[in-house]
Formats: sequence, C-alpha cells, structure tokens
Amino acid sequence: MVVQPRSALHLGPPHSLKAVPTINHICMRHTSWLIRARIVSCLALALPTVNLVAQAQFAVPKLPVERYVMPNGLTVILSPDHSAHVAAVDIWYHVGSKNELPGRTGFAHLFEHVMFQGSQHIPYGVHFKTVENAGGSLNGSTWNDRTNYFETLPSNELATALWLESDRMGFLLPALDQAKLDAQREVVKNERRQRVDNVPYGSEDEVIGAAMYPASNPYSWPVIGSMADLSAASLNDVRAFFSRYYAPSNATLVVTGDIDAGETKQLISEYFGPIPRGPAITRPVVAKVTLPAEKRLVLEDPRAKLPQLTISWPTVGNVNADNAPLNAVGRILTQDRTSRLTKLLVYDRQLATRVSADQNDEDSENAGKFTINVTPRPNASLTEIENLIDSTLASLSKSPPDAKEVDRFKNFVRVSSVIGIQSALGKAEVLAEGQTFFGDPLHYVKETDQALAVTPADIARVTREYLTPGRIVVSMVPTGKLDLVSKPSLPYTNVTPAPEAAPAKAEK
Amino acid sequence: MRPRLDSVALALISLAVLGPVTLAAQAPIDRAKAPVVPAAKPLTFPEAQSRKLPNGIPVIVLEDHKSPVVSVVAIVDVPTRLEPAGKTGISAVLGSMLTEGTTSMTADQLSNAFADLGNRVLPTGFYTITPNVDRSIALMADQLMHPSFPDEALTRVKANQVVALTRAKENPYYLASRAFANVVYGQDHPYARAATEAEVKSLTRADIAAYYEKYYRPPNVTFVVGGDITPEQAVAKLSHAFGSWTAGEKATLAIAAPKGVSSETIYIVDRPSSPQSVFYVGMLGPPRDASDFFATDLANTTLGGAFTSRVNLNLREDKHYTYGANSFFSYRRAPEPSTFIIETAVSTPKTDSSLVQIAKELADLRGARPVTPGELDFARGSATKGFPLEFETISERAGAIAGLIRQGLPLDYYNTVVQHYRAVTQSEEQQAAVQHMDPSKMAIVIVGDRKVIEPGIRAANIAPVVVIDENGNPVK
Repeated sequence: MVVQPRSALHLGPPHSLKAVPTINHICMRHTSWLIRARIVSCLALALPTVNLVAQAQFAVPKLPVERYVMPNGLTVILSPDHSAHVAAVDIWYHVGSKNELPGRTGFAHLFEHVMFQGSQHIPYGVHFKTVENAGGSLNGSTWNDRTNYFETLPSNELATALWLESDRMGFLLPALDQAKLDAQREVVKNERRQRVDNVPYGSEDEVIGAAMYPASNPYSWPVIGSMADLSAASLNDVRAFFSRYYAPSNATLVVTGDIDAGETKQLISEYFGPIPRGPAITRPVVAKVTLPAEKRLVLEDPRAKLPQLTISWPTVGNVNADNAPLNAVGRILTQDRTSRLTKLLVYDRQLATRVSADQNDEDSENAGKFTINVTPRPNASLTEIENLIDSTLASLSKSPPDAKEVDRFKNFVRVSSVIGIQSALGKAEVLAEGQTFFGDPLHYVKETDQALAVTPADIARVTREYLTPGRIVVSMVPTGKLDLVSKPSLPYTNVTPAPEAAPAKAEK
Repeated sequence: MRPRLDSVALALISLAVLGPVTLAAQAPIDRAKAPVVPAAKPLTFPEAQSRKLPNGIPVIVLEDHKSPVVSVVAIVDVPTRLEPAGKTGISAVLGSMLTEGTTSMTADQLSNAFADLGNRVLPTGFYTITPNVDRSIALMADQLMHPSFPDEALTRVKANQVVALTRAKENPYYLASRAFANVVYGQDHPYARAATEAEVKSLTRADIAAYYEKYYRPPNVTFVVGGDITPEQAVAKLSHAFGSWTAGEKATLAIAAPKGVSSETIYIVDRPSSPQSVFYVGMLGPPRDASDFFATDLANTTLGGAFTSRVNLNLREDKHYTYGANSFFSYRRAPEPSTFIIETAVSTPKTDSSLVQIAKELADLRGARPVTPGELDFARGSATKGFPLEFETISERAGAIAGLIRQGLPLDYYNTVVQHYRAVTQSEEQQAAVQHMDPSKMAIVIVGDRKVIEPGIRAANIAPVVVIDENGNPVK
C-alpha cells in the first residue's frame, strides 16, 4: 500500500473543535503505550489452513478516476464517491526539500508556511477562518520530494476550496512581505524545537542522513532545515522558489468525494485555467548511494533515561523495483510476535521491548534507507542486540524464507487494500502520490500487486544485496553513559549536537 | 527503475478517452469574493439500531453496505479510576495480558490465526473485510472470555511496562500532565494516581485474574458494530460467540470530588536543557451533563479550540513563540467533573512572555474583550457544519457512537445537537467562559529549564511560584 511519510512536516498541529471524548490527556496511565506495543507485535503467521482471503480471485479495488491535463499543464484527477457529503481538495506540487540548495535547508517547508499567509485577493487570515467556519479541516505538508495543501469540507463548499487554492497558486507574490516571512520563520523554528530539539534523541534521523549521503546530496539534510539556514532565507528566495516551482505545470489537483464531475471541471477551469504555465523544471538527480564501510555513530542526550539502537542501510527509493522485496524483508523481520527479529529480541531473549524494521518509511522518491530500530530493556547489551540482528540477517541472506513466512504479510496487504482507503482525503492522497511520482493515479494498485508478487528468493537476494556491512550504526545513550554504546571498542564518531539552549539564546 | 509514463503521453491518452474538455466562455471570476456556494445538504447522523444479546449485552449497529468492511468494538467500561490503591496500572497490564493466549490457543497460535485472516484481532475489536467477520469474532471472544494469563508472559509484560514508565519520563508532555494532575486533583486522588515501578512489579497473576473476573463481565460491556452487516446478523454472530458469558458485577465508581485549585498558582517542573517550555494551564470543569455544555464548547472554540482561536492567533501567529497553542475540555462520564486545559510549547527564552500572554487572554475574555458576535458565529459554524466530516467513514461513525456510550449519552444525541448549538446566545457563551475559564482557579504548570525560566516567571508577577517534581512534591 501507499505509505505516507511517517513524519511529513505540517503547517500546524491538527486542531479539533469537538469535545475530546476520552480523558487520556489527563489520566494517562500508560495504557496507550502498552496497547500500542501490543498492536505492533500482534500480527501473524500463516498456517497451512484455510485462507479466508481467496488469493486466486483477489483483485485490488480500483477507485473511479477521471484524469485530464489542462492547457496550462495542471493535471486534474477527479474521483467521485457520494457515500458522505464531504469533498476533499488536495494539491501536490512536485517540489520538496530535494529542490533546496545547501545553505537554504528547510526552505521548501518554510515556503509552505508562507503559502498560508494570504495572497493577492485573499487577505491574511481569511483562508483559515473560511475553512474552519464552514466546518472544514485543512493543512499542508512538506517532505523530501513533494509538498501538498489540502482541505476537506462539506461538499457544498467545494468552490470555496478551489477559490482558496487557486489564489495562492496564481497570486501569492503581490501579498508577500518581510513580516510574513519573518513570522513564519519563527513559527518553523519552534516547530523544529518541538519535533527535534526537545525530543530525546530527536536528531537521530538528521545524523543518519548526514552520514549516509554526501553533503551535496539533497537527501543529506533534514526537511525541517537548520536554524542557521532558516535565519538566512530571504524574500528573494521566496519569490524565486514560487516562480520556479509553484505553477499549474508542476502540480496535480485531486478532487474526491461527493462531487459532480461536470460542475467540478467547470469550477476548476474558472479558478485555475487563467493561471499561466510555469518554466520547465530541471529536477535534481539524486543518485543511489552505497557506503564503502560501516560508520559507527554515538548520539548522547541529557534528557534520555534509556539507550536506543538504530542500524540503517542505504537502499532504493519508491520508484525502484527492489522497494517491494525490501519492504517484505521488514515484514518478515518484525511484523508480528512470530516474525524473526521480534521473536528473537522481544520474546525469546527479552532484550528489547520493541523492534521495528522498515524500508524507506519516509517514502523518498529517488533513494531510501532500510532501518532497524530497537528499544532495549534497561540492562540489555546493545552489543548483544547488534550481534543478534547480524546473525538474523546473515541467515535470511543465505537461505530464502519459507513460502508460508512470505504469505504472512501478503494476507495483510490484501485486506489492507480493501479497508485501508476510506476517507475522501485518504483517497486523494493516494491518487495524488501515484500521479506525482509515477504518472499514474492508480499506481497503488500496481504497488499492491508488486507486494503480492514478491518471492522468497527476492527476499534473500535483496537482503544480500543491500543489507551489507556498508551501513550506519547509531548507539543512542543518556549523556555520559558511553559504556552503553554497542561494541565500544570499535572506533566511532560522537555526533551529539550542541546543547539545545544555544540556538534559543542566540535568538534573543 | 520502473517504467514511468510521460506526462505528455498521458495528456494525449486522456484527451483520446474523454474528448477535449470544452467549457463555455465566461466572464472572469471575481477572485476577491468568496464563491456563492449551494446550501449544505441536510445533515444525516448515524442511525444507531439497538439490540441486546440473550445475556443482556447491548449491541449497537450502524448498518452501511457501501463497502465490504465491518468494524466491531467491545467497549469494556471499567475506568482506570477503579484500580485499587497500591495496584495502579493493573488495567494496562491486564489489557496486555488478554492478548497473551487463551485456554485453548497460545499467543503465537492466535498470531497465526490473524495472519490467516489478514487482519489483527484485539480482545476489544477489529476492522476487516466482510468474509473475515465470523472468524474474527470467534478470536475476539476467545481472548475476552478465556484468557490464560501465562506466568512467563506476565513477567515480560510487567518488565516492558516498567520500561514504558521510564521512557514516559523523558517526555515533557507526560511530565506536564502528571504534575498538572497532582496539583489540580490532589496527590492522593484517584484521578492523580499513576502506576509506579514498584506497583507494577508487585502485581501477581492472582491480582490480574481477580480484577478480570470481577469486571470483565457482560454488565460492563457494550458492542458497537458498523458496516456491511445487518442488526440481525450482528446479534446472531455475537450471540454465538459471547452467549455463554455469564453476568457479573456492574462496575460502579464512588469517587470523592477532586480538590481543585483554591488560588491561581504557577508550578515549575525542572527539565534541564529543554529548548522549549511545555505549558499545561487549567482547572476542573463542568460535568458532561451540565446545562451549559454547548455554550462551554463554543467558549472553548473562541479561546483555543481552533487554529483561528485567540490563544493560537496570539502565541503563534502574532508573537511566534510557538508552533501551536490550543485548549480543550476533557470530559468524563457525568456526574464526574471534566478538566479544562490550555496546552502549548514555547521557546525557552519566551517562557515568561508566553505566560503573560496566556494570562492576558484569560483576563481579556472575562473583561476587556468579551466574546463578540463574530466569534459566536464562527464557533457555531465550526461546531455545526463539520458533522459530515466527523461521520465520513465507518470507523468514525462507530467511534462517535462509542464516545456517546462511554460518556453515558443517549444514542439519539446527535439528532438535536445542531439546534442546541444554534440556541446558544452571546451572553450564554460569555457566561460559560467566565465560569469555566477562571484563572483564579487555575494551575499553571510549566515544564522547562528551570535555571533559565524561573527568574522571568517570578518577575512576571502573575501568581505565586512553586517548584515541584512531576509527582507534585515540592523541590528546593
């Protein structure tokens, strides 16, 4: 199934207007953590019994799709579904942090925030107020390869969303000023503090990215960017970025839900038709990387109480055929309590409370990584855990898994493909992603078919080919507890960032 | 690399299939004006059909055959506040132990059975395709009615729970919520209790089994079934699986009212080297059945329930101290009180400035800047027009009904909710704000780098300052 980036950055935290029906905010008794851990490890192993998901007849449900390209290059995808009086408008621009330049990291996401600050015909504040007053929800998100903006509204308000989205696509710059940029720069710096700097081991992904890719590779820097680069972003940067990337010819507009196709086309033509096509875009070439040797890193955190271990290998992006078998490797290792690595570390040896293994969970287009993350028990040795991971991978690379073991995850793929996409916005996201990265809104069908076609031999092959010694091992320990590092006798680089207080003070 | 279709080729294909999109020539639209949109379609609320199993368990069915999917949820209404003193955390450990095997299946065998289906089944429910419903109900019933509580699993579950407790203390929001509960409810009050490492370690298999036997019984259970299934089918399937479950004790709560806050006080919890300070500001709130519930909800929207609410516009959009600030009422089942909270995380150097602004917003709402007609209109609009979104999917509809049951509200609650919101007047919203967002009864908990933030907080002179740990104990 199409996986949304685990951690795409949003304009803002979701707000709910409705009374919170639970009291977990206050009476947190750890139920949520424990239950979540159970859910993660409560998956499955196929027995040679009746398979209730009829494999031979199974076909992935296809959403109804009408697609056309407007004269100005805007790709439009309509997918009506009248089961609820809701419509979703979702615009994907094929631009993300990948298109940034060194020295301006975090800019694509900062720009996304600026897009909510008003445009020529729609003053600041009107966008939020209009959508919320209509009972709708809205947000935007930025990741490596794409940026999107979306509204879900009662379906009679469809034109409202098209009005709002078309004005900022066509007429952002006349309303732009320094104060708007400065305001969102500070908001984004606080987003960084909240997501990264104030979270134990929050810079884990950043240190892995920096170690995996050469500095010139745009996947080497974080989507949220650095404080210094955020400070450096100028109005001219905003103007240039908008002129280059924010045009109908670099966008996909998806409208789903309770819509009439004819009326919707008419509205889209009125609102988006007059916006001129943008310049041709040269997309950065992001080469697949390999590491000649293992890199060992140590990350200390003064607020952490227990260590963590992450091992990460450079692999392929979502447009590569090996994405599917690598994803299957992750499922074979950690999908449920009888999966190889979970069984070994959490149940048999009880060295960890949790282990996950995921291929390209950030859903990057051109290059990805395979990551194993372990939450150890307090007195467990990271060295022993690392050795057990290595022996598990060695075994998988030597002999293909049993076919039944592979069928484990395929049943889940089949059922998920039916139950997974229910909301209008969920459908829009899947269609927009397929169009943006694959030129095919129904790419999720192919992706499901590819997952179902993975063979045991594929799994052994990609384990051998990608999960090699050329990898990054990150030991994360409470500050000063360097004796907890995995294999402490091997040379390592301490990548602990400067104390968090530094950027905050510098700002005063 | 996979082959990728060229976008020009796609355009040609779509033109060939659809024919050129021809549209009538027209005058350009006036972009400065919001479009005139058609009237909203009539609101439709989930039609909940009530049934009962022969052993008395209520079954609420939301029939909907548009997709071949079914959701089944067992609400086991045993609030954690029932946990006996000294055994706090037993609910979480029990919840986990229910997945560790039954008298006829080991946990690994259950796991295998889920894989045969392609969907997981928790003791309290599942979401799957229609053909998998019977087997999923059987696996759910086995876990809920016949758990085996193996000793070796209990040892592991307890150890993992202790790790979860330790890790939670790394999280500033957890520290803020713990400190807030201790100062607002009182350290010994059941609302403020949280499992300790010692308590979790002391739990025995006999404790778990006794708690289970006492409360996991039909009088405390309600099923909510949604999707591609009729009420008759739901009752037949659930009766088959759960019919032999025998009655037990109805869980009843008899909890003294928490003490609340007698006068506004600021509590600092030290978390050294934090680049942000996390705020929990709030007080005890009205019960869910209060006559001014709707006015209170609208008042919350004005102060902090939406993006364009006052605290977010001030702290984020105007001052840029934060990525977001919001407020909410968290309700328990009436007659228990709710809790009102304003929550935000601000950059460390702006901690005292943020404190001043939050205090100002609370003071302004009851004084200099009362609720305006525009704010009432906005809050009403966002409260009443968004119902199609809230009930869009089967999961959401079932979740909404489960929320009504948990809060003891009638199943036809939503039929009148719009008229209740519309009936709220400006003075009623204002009165609710004055009564339920009263700074003189609020605790202000700030989790951050004490040595950096304490001088400014004291200098702001908003309220007395006390330094505590997350358990509510004073710190020098």
